[in-house]
Amino acid sequence: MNTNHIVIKPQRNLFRIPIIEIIRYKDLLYFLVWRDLKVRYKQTILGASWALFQPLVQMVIFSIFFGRLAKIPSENVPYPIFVYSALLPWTFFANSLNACNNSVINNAGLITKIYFPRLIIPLSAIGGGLIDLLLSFLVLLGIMAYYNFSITIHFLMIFPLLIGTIFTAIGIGTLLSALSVAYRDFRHIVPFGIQIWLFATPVIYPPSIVGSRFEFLLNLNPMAGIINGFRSAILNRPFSWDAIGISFLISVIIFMIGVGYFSRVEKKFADII
Amino acid sequence: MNNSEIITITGLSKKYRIGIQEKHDNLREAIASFFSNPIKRINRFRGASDYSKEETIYALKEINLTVKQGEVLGIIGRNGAGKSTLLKILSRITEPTDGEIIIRGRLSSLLEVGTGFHPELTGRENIYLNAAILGMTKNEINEKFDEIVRFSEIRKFLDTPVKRYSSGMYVRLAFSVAAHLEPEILLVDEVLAVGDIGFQKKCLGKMHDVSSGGKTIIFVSHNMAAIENLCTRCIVINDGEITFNGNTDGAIKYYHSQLSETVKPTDLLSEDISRIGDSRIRFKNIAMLNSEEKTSNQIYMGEDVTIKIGLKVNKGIKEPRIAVFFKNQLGQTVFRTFTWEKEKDFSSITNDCEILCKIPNLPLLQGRYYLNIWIGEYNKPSDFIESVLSFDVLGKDVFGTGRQPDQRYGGVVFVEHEWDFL
Ligand SMILES: Nc1ncnc2c1ncn2[C@@H]1O[C@H](COP(=O)(O)OP(=O)(O)OP(=O)(O)O)[C@@H](O)[C@H]1O
Ligand SMILES: [Mg+2]
Repeated sequence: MNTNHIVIKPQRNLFRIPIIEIIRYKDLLYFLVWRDLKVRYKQTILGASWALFQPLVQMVIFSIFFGRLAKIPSENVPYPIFVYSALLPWTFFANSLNACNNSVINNAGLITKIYFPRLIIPLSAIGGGLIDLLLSFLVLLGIMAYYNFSITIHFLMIFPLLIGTIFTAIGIGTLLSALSVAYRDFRHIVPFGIQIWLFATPVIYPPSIVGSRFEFLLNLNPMAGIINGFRSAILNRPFSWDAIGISFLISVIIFMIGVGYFSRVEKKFADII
Repeated sequence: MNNSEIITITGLSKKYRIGIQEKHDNLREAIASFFSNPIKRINRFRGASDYSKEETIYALKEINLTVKQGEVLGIIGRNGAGKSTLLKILSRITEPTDGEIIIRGRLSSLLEVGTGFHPELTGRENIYLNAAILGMTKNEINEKFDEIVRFSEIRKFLDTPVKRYSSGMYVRLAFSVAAHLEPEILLVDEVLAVGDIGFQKKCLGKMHDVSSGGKTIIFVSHNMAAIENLCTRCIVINDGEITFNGNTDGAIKYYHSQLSETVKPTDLLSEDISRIGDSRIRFKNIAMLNSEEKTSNQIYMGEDVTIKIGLKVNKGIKEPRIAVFFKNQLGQTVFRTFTWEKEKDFSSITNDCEILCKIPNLPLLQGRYYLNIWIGEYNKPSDFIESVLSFDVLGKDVFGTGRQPDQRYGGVVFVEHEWDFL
């Protein structure tokens, strides 16, 4: 019966992703996502439709200011759908970072009283965003119908691209959540950082706008290739495989760094939080 | 099952860094300090071992302990002794600095009532959430849901957000979830201190059931009556070290004798006295006077005694209430004196002063007793010190019969009484 002995002793700082542990605690992950969604929409009148609101309102504003007034080129596509197809993954990404950033601190009560793989906390923060993302896809279908875009084989690329987005979000998100335990300053810095990142990513403009000399630089931002990939998938345009390849490579590196750092410092969370 | 060792702890130590939060009066200073010592500031996650001695404390020092299957082990010790730290290491919430623990069984810990409860969620939702947090799977929760609800006796409020619960209902719900865990080893930290007496008893009963079913329990409490009731063995932790390991009665006696040695009744303002309260008024000193009005800790049964309490007023409070609790060696409060019940209005206390509490004909039997003292506004403590003073009650022929009432025949107090035919 007692076959699984647990040995507790000081751990060396090894890079370790406790996948088996996380699988064992999958019900907890599920309930934490469920809790966040429940609580978020409990006392709002519009409930879950708030999730649709954010990218929609941004689409309208960006279409007016960047599309109409600043006349940013949108590669022969109506600007609203041009920007919405990128805002969709971007909103998910940005919300994930914000949620992760505060997630460990917000769950201090759990961390100091109960054992579970700490990675569950930022993962659950991202999980909530995924549900919102699913809902915004419904809106996308509506907009696509309005502008007479149809779903093509390119649409399938959304799945690998989404995985790239999730990897990047987990990498940066875990890093931020761990850092903000030690330095509460991050809670204030991150929203700025995300704002700046938005402008460093081809969301409101096409990548061609930066010119071929700097396009390589742009692609060092893993979200650049991925976001533009989303756009190609949704609007049925050719993919720039170089950019997507670089983005994926970098997002895997970021994932390793973030998760690696997190798993190195997570044992100290309960002591210093 | 056999008496095999289910937990083995060897050479366990835990070092904490203290004073992590350095205070910077302004941003410039913070930045300056960053540049003057960037390494130190950057490595906040570094282990305690990288810091100089004065910044660290040992919460646990070289602990060796084994727990056998089916044992109910009590852990007692003063505030800050390291009890919770030991449970936190056992439950893998925090990591030891040194040493090794082997655990041979499924372990659950209950360090707090209602961990993870969310005030906006309903009772039903919180049962699922809390049970998942405590390690149950969705299927297990579904199976036990009805039983949990029945145990909690709050079915009517199941779909009300818990923020609308009274604190008693909250505790009931939380404890009911915890009581339905089925671990082989259960760690419990001080969670019975909350909730109404009836429900506390019910929980103790449930824990008793759990332990008689061969489960191993480690139980931390300041409630000596609960410790006495439940534990088959008990350890005393003092400043991070196990100073007593043996039977429960012995441990409780040892703990109390240790308490009375360490608390210096003369200066209660000293830093190392653990106390609770907002400190608007503090106890400065306390003494027990015998019938000749001399300070003494040897009192005879039936003697007229006076407790003299010195107060230091930092910032006055409205209508202060003062209580003195008399506890026996098992930590049970035998009786208490309380200004409010006697309608004594001390609202004139605005400066440091001394007050007296006179108790004629002290009804205690022989033995050692301890005082807890409490001062506060309504039920909000300004100062509360446990076991602040101890005294021995010596036997005496209180009935004038030439025979002393004796504690060995049972009881804690004696009362005047008569025997006669109808
Ligand atoms: N995260 C932490 N950082 C620094 N010091 C800590 C931390 N947690 C506990 N300590 C210190 O470790 C010591 C032991 O604390 P612990 O909580 O184990 O005491 P305890 O015996 O449970 O006390 P109580 O009876 O009040 O619950 C205390 O001096 C405490 O200040
Ligand atoms: Mg404690």
